[in-house]
Amino acid sequence: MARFILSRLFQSLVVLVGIYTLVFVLMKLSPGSPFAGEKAVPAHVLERMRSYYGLDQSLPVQWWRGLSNYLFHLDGGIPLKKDGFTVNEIIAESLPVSALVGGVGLLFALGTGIPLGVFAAARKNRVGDYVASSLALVGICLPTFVIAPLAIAWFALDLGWFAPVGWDDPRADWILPSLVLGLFYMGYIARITRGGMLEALNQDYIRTALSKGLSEGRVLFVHALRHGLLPLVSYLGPATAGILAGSFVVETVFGLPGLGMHTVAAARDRDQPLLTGSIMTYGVLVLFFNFLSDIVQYWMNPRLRGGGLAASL
Amino acid sequence: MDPAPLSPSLPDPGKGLPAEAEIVQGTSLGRDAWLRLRKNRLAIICLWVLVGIVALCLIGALLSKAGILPDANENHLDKKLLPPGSGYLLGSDALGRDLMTRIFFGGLVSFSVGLVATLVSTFIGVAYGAVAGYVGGRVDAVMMRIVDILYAMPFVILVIVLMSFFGSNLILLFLAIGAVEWLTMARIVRGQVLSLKKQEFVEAAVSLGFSHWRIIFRHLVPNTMGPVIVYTTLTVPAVMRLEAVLSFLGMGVQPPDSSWGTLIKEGADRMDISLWLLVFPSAIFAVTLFCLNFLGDGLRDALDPKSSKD
Repeated sequence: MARFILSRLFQSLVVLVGIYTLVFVLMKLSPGSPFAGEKAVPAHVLERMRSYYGLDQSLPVQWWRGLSNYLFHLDGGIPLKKDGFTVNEIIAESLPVSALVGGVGLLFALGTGIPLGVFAAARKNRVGDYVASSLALVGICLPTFVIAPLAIAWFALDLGWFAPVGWDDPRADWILPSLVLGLFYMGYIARITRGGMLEALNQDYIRTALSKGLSEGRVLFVHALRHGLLPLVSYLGPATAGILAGSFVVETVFGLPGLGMHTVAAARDRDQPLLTGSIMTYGVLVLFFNFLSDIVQYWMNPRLRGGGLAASL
Repeated sequence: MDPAPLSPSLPDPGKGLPAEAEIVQGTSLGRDAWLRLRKNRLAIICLWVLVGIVALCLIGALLSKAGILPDANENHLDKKLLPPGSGYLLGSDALGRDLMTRIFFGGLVSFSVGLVATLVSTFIGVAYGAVAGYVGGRVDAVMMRIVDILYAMPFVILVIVLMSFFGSNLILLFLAIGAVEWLTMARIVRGQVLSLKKQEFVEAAVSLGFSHWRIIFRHLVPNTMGPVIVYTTLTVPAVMRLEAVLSFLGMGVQPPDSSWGTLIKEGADRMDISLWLLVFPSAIFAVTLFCLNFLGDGLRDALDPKSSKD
């Protein structure tokens, strides 16, 4: 186990350096300058700005300086476009917003998606399956940016339950965005659960359990669910990272100051330090939750335990 | 003298075969899958609905080009935001353009993004995964770490950076989306190739002295087609969604051209006064994605009989 964790840590480090380098190369290759604006900036001011942000140094030096700041100080530097903040401050401020909305959304998606998927699998190719599967697909087929404005129009403007946009009242402003975000993941979770459960229900041990006279509910939820949820667990690794790091569509429509919004803004503004910081944050989340999902799979699937985790992964 | 049959219950193979072959018609995997798919009524309905939508968009676009339907990009500022029915079957938008023809043209753009980007991603993914799985060892490890790195980047951000790098151009949009969607395909194909390459037919091909490329692309890749087809069908709706999201962010299809994504975005902006601008494009988009997903599920059941047995 310790060997597995260590080798995972080392691999993650390699991946993070790779992500950093990829963003670095892409930003250096892309045309346009972060300081290009409507007003022409005088040459000497531009010179000062470039030297202030360290952009006048050679590319390898810039690459190493940024990387070593991450590796040894966990410091993302100063963004090019947001005066008065550091990258770390922006991430520390916006990640909790995204994580709150995403976390509630994920709980909602799990709470509705798993029962829907189990129900659809139990009623395979019957009316109940079609209804449940169609319901699950609503979240996938209607883009978030359609559902979000409709939800605002209905719940915020017509019914007046919530503020339509913004992040002023932390007690209520997360509800509507969370539900909208969760609806999308609900669809995927239900589909994956249905697929996993169908496979589980095909296994011989299920037939054995049923032939021993156990109730359908017990077989479904005790025997099959554990096997049937395995594909979902491997999906949830990257999905959890994505949902916690923030959906810029939801954050844009609801006007939330989350990480997703900063990421898109940084990509548009060529704000390399901020973009690097937010993508690295996302990368860490992906790696962490992938690791977590591997551990949970190990714990849920006795077959993986036999050969030792490191051997089987 | 003929050797005695091993067991009396087994038919004599030499005598039984020709007669059997005459009675039992051999079916190819593709035909077999099609027969199973045909039994899945929902998938077949979805297939026809999709064919209908594509045909409608094509015919509508042709009629508009021929002058029978209004032009999709021609402004009529005196006929702004007309509700459905009043001269325009589905209403007009903020510049007095006919929503229906815009939906037809937008549909063609959305479908072509979906198909071309999917083909690009399938091509990259299959080639990459097959090579990684076949070569194995260090090369495989490095290639899969690269996939891990790209996996840990937000997809859309990658596309945004690529789009700002290459500029907003429809063909580059195809390539940019295709260039980020191939990762899962590469993993699937690699896994398949890893198990296939240990089988006898590959050994036979090696001993016949075939080149590595020939073995990969003539012997291994054709054997991975089942999962590849299934995942490809499910990539089409994902790509169309991604295009819509990009267009929503103003980074996809540029005005005056439209895709379903840009139409939905325009509709969402004017939802409060003219709901039809949101409802019609969203409805046709949702129906299309719905059918594509159900068709993909049906194909999976058809191509993988193990998962569909009751």
